[in-house]
Amino acid sequence: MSEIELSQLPDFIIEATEHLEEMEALLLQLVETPDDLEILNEIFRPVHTIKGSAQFIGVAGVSRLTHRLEDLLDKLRDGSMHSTPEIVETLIEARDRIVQLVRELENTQSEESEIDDLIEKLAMHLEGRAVVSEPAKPTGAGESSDAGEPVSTVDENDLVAGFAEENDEELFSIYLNQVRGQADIIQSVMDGIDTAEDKEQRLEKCVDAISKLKSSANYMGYDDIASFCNGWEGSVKEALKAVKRGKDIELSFMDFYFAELKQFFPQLSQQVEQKAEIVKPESRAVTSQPVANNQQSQNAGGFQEENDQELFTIFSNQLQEKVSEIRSIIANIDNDSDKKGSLDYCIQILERLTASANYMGYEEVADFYEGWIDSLLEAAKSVSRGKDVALSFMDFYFAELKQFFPQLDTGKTSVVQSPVEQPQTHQPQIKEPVFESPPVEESRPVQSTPVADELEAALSAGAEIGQDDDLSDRLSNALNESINQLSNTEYETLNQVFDEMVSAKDEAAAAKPDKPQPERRKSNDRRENDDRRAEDRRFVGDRRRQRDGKDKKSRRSLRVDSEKIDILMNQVGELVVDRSYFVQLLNELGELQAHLKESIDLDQREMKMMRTFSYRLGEAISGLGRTSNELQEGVMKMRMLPISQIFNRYPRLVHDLTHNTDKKVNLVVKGEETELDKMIVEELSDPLIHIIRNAVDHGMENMEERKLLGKTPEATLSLEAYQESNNIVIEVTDDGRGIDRKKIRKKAVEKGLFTEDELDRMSASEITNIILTAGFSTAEKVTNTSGRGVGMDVVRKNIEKLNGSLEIESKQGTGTRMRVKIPLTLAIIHALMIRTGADVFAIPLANVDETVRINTNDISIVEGVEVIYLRGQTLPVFRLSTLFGIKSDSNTDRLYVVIVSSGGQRVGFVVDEMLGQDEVVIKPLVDYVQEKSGFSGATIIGDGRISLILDVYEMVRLTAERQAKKHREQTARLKAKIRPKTKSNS
Amino acid sequence: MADFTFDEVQDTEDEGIMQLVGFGVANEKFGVDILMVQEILRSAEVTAVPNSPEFVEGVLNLRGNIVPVIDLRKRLSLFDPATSQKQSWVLILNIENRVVGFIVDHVTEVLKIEEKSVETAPEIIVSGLESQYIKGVCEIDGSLIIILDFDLVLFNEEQKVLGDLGADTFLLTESEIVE
Repeated sequence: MSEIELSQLPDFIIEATEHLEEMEALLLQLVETPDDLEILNEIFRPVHTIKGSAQFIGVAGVSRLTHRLEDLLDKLRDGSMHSTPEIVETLIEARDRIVQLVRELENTQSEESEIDDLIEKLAMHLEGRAVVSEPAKPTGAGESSDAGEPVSTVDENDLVAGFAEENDEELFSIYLNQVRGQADIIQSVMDGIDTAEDKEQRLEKCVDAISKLKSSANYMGYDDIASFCNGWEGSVKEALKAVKRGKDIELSFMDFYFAELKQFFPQLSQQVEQKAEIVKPESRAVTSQPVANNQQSQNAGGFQEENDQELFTIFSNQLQEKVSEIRSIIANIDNDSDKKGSLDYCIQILERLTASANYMGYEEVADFYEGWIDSLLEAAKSVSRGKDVALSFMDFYFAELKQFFPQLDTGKTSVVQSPVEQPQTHQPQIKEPVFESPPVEESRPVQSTPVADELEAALSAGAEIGQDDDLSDRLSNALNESINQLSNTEYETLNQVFDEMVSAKDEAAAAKPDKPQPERRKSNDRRENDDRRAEDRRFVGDRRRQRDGKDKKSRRSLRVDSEKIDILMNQVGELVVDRSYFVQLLNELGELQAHLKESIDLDQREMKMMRTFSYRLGEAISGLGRTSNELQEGVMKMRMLPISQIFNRYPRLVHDLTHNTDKKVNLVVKGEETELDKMIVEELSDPLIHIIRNAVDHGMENMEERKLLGKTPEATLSLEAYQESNNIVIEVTDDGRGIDRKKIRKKAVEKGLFTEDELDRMSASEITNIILTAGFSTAEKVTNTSGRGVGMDVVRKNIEKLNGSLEIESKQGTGTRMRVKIPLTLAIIHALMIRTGADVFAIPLANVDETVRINTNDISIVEGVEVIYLRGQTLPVFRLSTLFGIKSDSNTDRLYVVIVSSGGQRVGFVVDEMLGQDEVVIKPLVDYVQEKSGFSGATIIGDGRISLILDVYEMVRLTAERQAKKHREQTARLKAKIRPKTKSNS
Repeated sequence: MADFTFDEVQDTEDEGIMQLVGFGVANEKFGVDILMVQEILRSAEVTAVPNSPEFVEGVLNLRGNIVPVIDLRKRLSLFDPATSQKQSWVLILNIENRVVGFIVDHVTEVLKIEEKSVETAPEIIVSGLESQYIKGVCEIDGSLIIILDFDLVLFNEEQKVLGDLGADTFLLTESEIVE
């Protein structure tokens, strides 16, 4: 494979990650409903997209793996395979591997993980199906054994399955092209050989071609094929000898060899289709089958979906134009004196088409064109050597092209008609219906198995009389007849033989003849048209569905580096600040006005000008204010992401947690569309994982226990998000065993965190909250019994970092509810502005319980700490001036106290002045300034000054630490036993 | 050290010529590569951050960005009350994409020096300036210009902070007074 296109890699990684996330969610749905076609189809889409881009930028591993995934998914989709838990697990595993590969690409720009094991596993699933379909094969196998072919059908299956995985796909497709080319040559040579004069020459050509096949098989290392070719070559040489001796020869063995060859290469029968991959094999084989149709139109839809609509229109217009050009050239080529020139021109056109397909990123289409060009080159060569060429393959390519772009014939039906119709369309123009024969000839490379002998006979007869228009009509009829005579069962066999990887099965019986057997088209023309219409309808339906769905939405979205938005956010914040500066200036202007009036004594006229100006300035400022507010809101919204971004990860988590356990959990997710700040979404992910893991691991009983308790065996875990004023609330509720407070109490005493006395005084919720205590969480035994506690302090800390809070409600025996409350955005918070000394500080309103005014003598000192009594509760109070080392300017006895709560404790901060509530834009502080300072950031207030934002949690912790230390010193000094203050702070 | 200086010179436009912004702290004269200087502010309003390391003077509002300000005098332990000036300058430097302000006593004109004239710092430096922060020295008009290695000034300072920071940092002497 080619080198990885590094410039495209970052985009690929982002895109793939998104698709993988989508895929994960879908896969988990699949675990529930393994046969849901809708889900399978939806899974297919991200896989396909990833594959497309992986191929495009040359990420070999991902593209191989996704390719195999597609194969498997295809089978699941058309119902020929049923997804078993094993298959779904493998799919999940494969997804994880792709995630890993993508991660490696991100880190090292290369793929490191092995994928062969998974490819093997996928192949095993695929082969499992191959074995199942075995009964479909006998006819083909019988024929080969009749012919004395040593290669058994089963071996071939394996061989074919093995091909794609053992070898480089690119190499394989080259090889396949070659095989196809040689097979064409042989076939054209063999056509009409019975009556031909130059039997000898023809056979020699044949031998030549076969030996070429042999050597390339050798090159590819396909021993079986090589030996098969060897046998073939031998037979043909025998025949050649016989011819040389002037004997009559029986060439029917050729058909067997052809059949055999096609067994090796099911792709061959489908020509480029297999390689082109865009349209999956079965969709071709069974076009009229609903599933396949659906899928095909989806593929077509996929094209449009993935690409700019406008571009696509240009592309398809060009395509239509070019294709009709080629068509008319080919149709007229027999009358053309310069056949070679015409062919070369066709090649040129195709090259142009290849280029545009490449530009559009349709690799498969480009590949297909290249195959076409190869064939044309081959033909051109023959022409230049003065030989006759069978241009029948052209029709096949046209048919193929139509498969890629079903839209093509909606516009210009005649352009890409079914191959049989096409020559007819052009007949009047060329006035010499010579070209009636091509469709007949063309049927041979297309036909994948030995069709009944009579058909063969008809075909050879047709080729023989190819130049005779009268006869060609007869041939046509004969052909139709023979086709009609072919029983459906034969067709079915036929189809299953060449559609090794496809599985059309039952439905296929009726449907399959259409695509792979163009000659059948004629007889089925009407049906075909109907089908096509149905297809179009479906296509439209698909599109409509997409328009309604999220696909449409995502197509309209724009990927922007989050940093850019942050910068913009910053600028907007600045604008808001600038605005307040203007407001301030306006006030100053008012003062100036007063000054002018009084001191300078300006007259009324002059003053009026001044007033008018000042009024207009005020108007302008309020206009600016409106705009900047809207701008701010808009930018904020840009940062908002639906919480589904993280919620989508949890089904997988629950799946993994319950996998191989005797627990069954039904995860209910609600309100995943709730939006909140991108940064918060990311920061929330881990705490929520923790909460969910705790709920499932510890909170939930296993099925047995639940039955005994009279609960449903399947536990329910609900994950709900909703907005509550300026906060987002996320509730994780389980119906498990709940928190056992007795155990907590016991453990708390054991750990020496609290005394029995203290615990007695605590409320139920306070006791529950003990599990959030740092020292407590590490107690592994408690977690086993109480069901909660591992790292809950970390959870709380993380949530509080986001200015959020965590509440626990639990009832023993019935379940637990964790309530996470976080502000909508981190960038802007509501804060209480206070002043201490000359400095203004902001206290996040989320932490503020109340503000009180007290008298100095309300403060008493308990154990060296200033406390106040507030409604029967003792609260420690700290003077911010003392904490911050600022000189307080308050000299009255009346003190302002802000009561804040954090981590379940309440403390009061004594401040000099309350300035009111404000919305502030948080700006980070450099780590070395912020660290241990007790501030979470800073904001710029109206006059341009900086106001530091208190990190209440940290501040309380630091203060408590300080108190503790002071007390230790005191204790040491006094040698008196004073209970450490640890209790109140942790 | 010498190699490093050479690399610096490559950055300047003139071959072998280095442009320095000269500034003074206490009694010392310093220079900093002009390419690192983002701007120079005259007595900006610096908001103190309580409980931050001692040499952190605070933060300032630089057009909406909050920029930490470091008192170079304290940072380099050059405290000398005799030379302390009321009016100070803030050098806003861009140190590997981190914008930091440094308080200096005064700023002089841009100095052009030949990179060749830059010498490795002698082991013993006046005023007890730690030689680890010195990239080199050069002589202009008979006075010694110290070229500071701000990467190290900032880096070491961060290291130091991380090492020093503990509960103790939080302890303020004032708190004892309350008792």
